[in-house]
Amino acid sequence: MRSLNKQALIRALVLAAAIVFLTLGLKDGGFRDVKNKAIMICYECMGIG
Amino acid sequence: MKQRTRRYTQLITAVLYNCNIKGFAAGSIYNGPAKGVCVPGLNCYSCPGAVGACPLGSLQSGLLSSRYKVPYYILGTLLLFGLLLGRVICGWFCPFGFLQELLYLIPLPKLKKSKVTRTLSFLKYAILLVFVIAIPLIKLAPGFCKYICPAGTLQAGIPLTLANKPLRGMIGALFSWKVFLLALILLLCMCCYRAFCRFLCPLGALYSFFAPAAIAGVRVDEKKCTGCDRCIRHCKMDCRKVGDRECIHCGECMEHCPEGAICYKFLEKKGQDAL
Amino acid sequence: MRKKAVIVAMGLLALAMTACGKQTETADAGNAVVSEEAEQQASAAVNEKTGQQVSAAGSEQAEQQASAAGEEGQEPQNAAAKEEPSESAGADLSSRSNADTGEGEPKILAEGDIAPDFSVELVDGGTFRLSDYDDKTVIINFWATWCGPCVGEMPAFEMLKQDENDDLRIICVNCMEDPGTVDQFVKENGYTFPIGYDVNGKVFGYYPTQGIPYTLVVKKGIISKIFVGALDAEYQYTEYKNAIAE
Repeated sequence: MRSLNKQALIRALVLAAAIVFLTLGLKDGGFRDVKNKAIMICYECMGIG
Repeated sequence: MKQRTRRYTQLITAVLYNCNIKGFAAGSIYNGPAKGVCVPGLNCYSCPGAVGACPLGSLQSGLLSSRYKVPYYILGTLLLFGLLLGRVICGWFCPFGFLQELLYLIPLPKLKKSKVTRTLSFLKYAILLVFVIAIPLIKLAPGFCKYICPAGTLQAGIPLTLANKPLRGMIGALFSWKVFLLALILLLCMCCYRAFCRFLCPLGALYSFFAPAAIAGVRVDEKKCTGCDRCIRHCKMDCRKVGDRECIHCGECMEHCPEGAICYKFLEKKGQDAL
Repeated sequence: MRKKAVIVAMGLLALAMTACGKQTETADAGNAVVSEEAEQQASAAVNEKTGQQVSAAGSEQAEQQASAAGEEGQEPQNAAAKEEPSESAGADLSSRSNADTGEGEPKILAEGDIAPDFSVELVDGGTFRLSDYDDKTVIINFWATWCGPCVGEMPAFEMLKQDENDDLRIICVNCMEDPGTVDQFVKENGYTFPIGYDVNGKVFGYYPTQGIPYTLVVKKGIISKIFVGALDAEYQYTEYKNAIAE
């Protein structure tokens, strides 16, 4: 029982952190940053230059 | 037999992540809005077909820019993926994992798991620390993407250089190294089940931290379990227990349990036949 | 049950592929950009045995590239871009596109094209407008803080600025990052050459590229040389100096 409560607590904390981070990230343009990086060919990822 | 649902899911996932067929023909990459969303598994965002962003690539990019801006978005995304699915992503939603499973079907001598492979499974944590975290923070380069990632070479390096004849003129030593590493990894995966996942993948390493808390996945009903360990013996990954950090939740252990004690969480009542 | 799931999945997949296909304009632009840039680089590689530079412009080369493009079966848009007549110095810039007003159709730029006009707000205040310097040589560079090669080649621009060439103007346009990030970067590195913001990507839209750093040498409003990618700062400095001197 105790371990179940502990697990529930961890889950709640992680979920809270995820929501907070996502909200902060969306607010400060994190989505746009990820998109901008993803739409440029990453020459480094390809092994070129 | 019961792996059919998982196989279908893996196939659909792999095709869905890379459904920008146009890109392959034209040798260019997709630049639509979906590229701001990370896919949960390992899928290079410079792949011509890729319609989403790579979580590892985005994480490294976020870390190397972290001195200017804390990368909340990618961190939140990873936390969410980890919590909801954990390494279910590895077993169900990762195209590169799917590829490795297919490669293992090739009839070549197989390397069985052992204490050595169990020890090797710690290597991926070192790779996570050094190439995904340290190098971006210190050398301001996407360490894993640049020096190791075979998915990048396979999905982006090769198709883009094939489709853009002049790009081939830019190939240098780094490209050769990456192709060599890719070939090595693919060969290894033919003989050793999911060798990349078990020993090298930093994304799997990252998700493995969520194993105690992840909502989806396989579970052992302790009341039914007799401790015969048949599940672990048949498991192709380096698990010590079902559902631990090495478990990719493929569900193969379920077929071997004589007590029927293993099931997917939330599916106990309906039974595994639903799958 | 399983059949239904498969059908639904197929449907979703078809939807996704159609959505990708609908990204016609920008995707086509992207296609052509990569091939074109890569071609320019390749001819440079052949000429100079270097990794990532573009060889000298000229209507002859443009035609060669155009026919090569035709052979590779590229988009008609691309061919049209290349078949534009090369303009000589002091040429007519009346058909120029403008990123600020949205005039003109954005397209992949090739050597010999008119450089689309734009204005950007500079990090140290003030504005840089391209058309103000139509009588000079301008180096336009697109970069981002997360792009290793971009950051690595920046000392080259500082060196070019230190040369105090009166006929040269430099403008490094940041690719869609927060102004705060750009400010901090500049502060940390102490660069003095003009650096501008392009938070909304308005300017970037008229200079489409799939790879950065993306550098154009513009002489009297006409693009004379395009570079994609960069090696180290010393190497780039030499390359840019040569391009300016030509």
